[in-house]
Amino acid sequence: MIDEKQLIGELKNEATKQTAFRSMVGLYKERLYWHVRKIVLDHEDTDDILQNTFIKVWRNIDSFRAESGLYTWLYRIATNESLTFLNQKKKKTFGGTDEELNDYLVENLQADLYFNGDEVQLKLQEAIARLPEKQRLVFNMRYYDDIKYQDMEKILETSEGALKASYHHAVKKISDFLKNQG
Amino acid sequence: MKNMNDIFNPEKEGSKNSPFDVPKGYFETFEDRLEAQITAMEEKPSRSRTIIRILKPVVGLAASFLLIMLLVKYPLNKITPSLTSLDDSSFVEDSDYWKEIILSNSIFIDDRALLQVMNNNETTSPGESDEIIATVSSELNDYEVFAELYN
Repeated sequence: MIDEKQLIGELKNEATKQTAFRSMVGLYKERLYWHVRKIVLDHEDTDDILQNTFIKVWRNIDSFRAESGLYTWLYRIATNESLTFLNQKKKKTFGGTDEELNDYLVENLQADLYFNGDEVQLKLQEAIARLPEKQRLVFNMRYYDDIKYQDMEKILETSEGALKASYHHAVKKISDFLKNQG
Repeated sequence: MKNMNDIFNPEKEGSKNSPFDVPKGYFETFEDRLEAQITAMEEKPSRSRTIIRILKPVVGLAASFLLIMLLVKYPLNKITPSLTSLDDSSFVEDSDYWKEIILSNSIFIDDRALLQVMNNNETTSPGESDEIIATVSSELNDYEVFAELYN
């Protein structure tokens, strides 16, 4: 296993930066991909966001002070990139309304070649897409990725209590949505 | 997942399986595509930086010149408004006045008259010239000169 401190040291060293960067991408690309994918749902958009995330890391690694773990930092950048992407799309295409954006994301998912879920999973994704931003993030990170609340606290910069409450509300809303859909 | 109740049932196998998929070989080629993009992005700014480096002194000179012009022209306008108002347009407007002055002070001779005057001067014989000089040098009054010429 690669030592994180050593990896950060190599990333900050011009002589070893490129090799260390490649190792870091190999280590985190899949986890970050799935994290982003669950937020934006579309594969092509996820690919763009993931590349932008790593490009930001490449450019700003010197300013990384290692107060939080590398993994936390990467998750935070990926989350911010994903939310920025959705907000820009909302403003440019849907005049700033959440509902139209959510409808578009779900419709897009139905036509997505890289969505292999059944009808129940599609309904679940629709329910998740209709959640408020924070609840959607917390639900995905907890439900799919099993990320601990302590880690989530650092990534989303929110208290553990607030995160637990967000997850609880998200589960309730999803259950209600699915019941109503029958 | 077959049933809605399976969603929040951790006992059910595959209840949390991600329904998403990726294109074949996506993760295997990701690093190469990312590196290619980073290389392309790092090349682009260097080209634009070169253009900026070339244009910088030119733009700087133009801006300085403009600034100097503004610094000179505006205070000058304020200090001497009467002088600075005499610009090119006032000369254009007064050009008819100057034309009249030039025309009224000029003597115009057509080509034929000019040629005749020149010929007359050339046909004057040296003898006649001597006669005029002798007449002028003799201290005669106008009446005597007139009488001499017609006698």
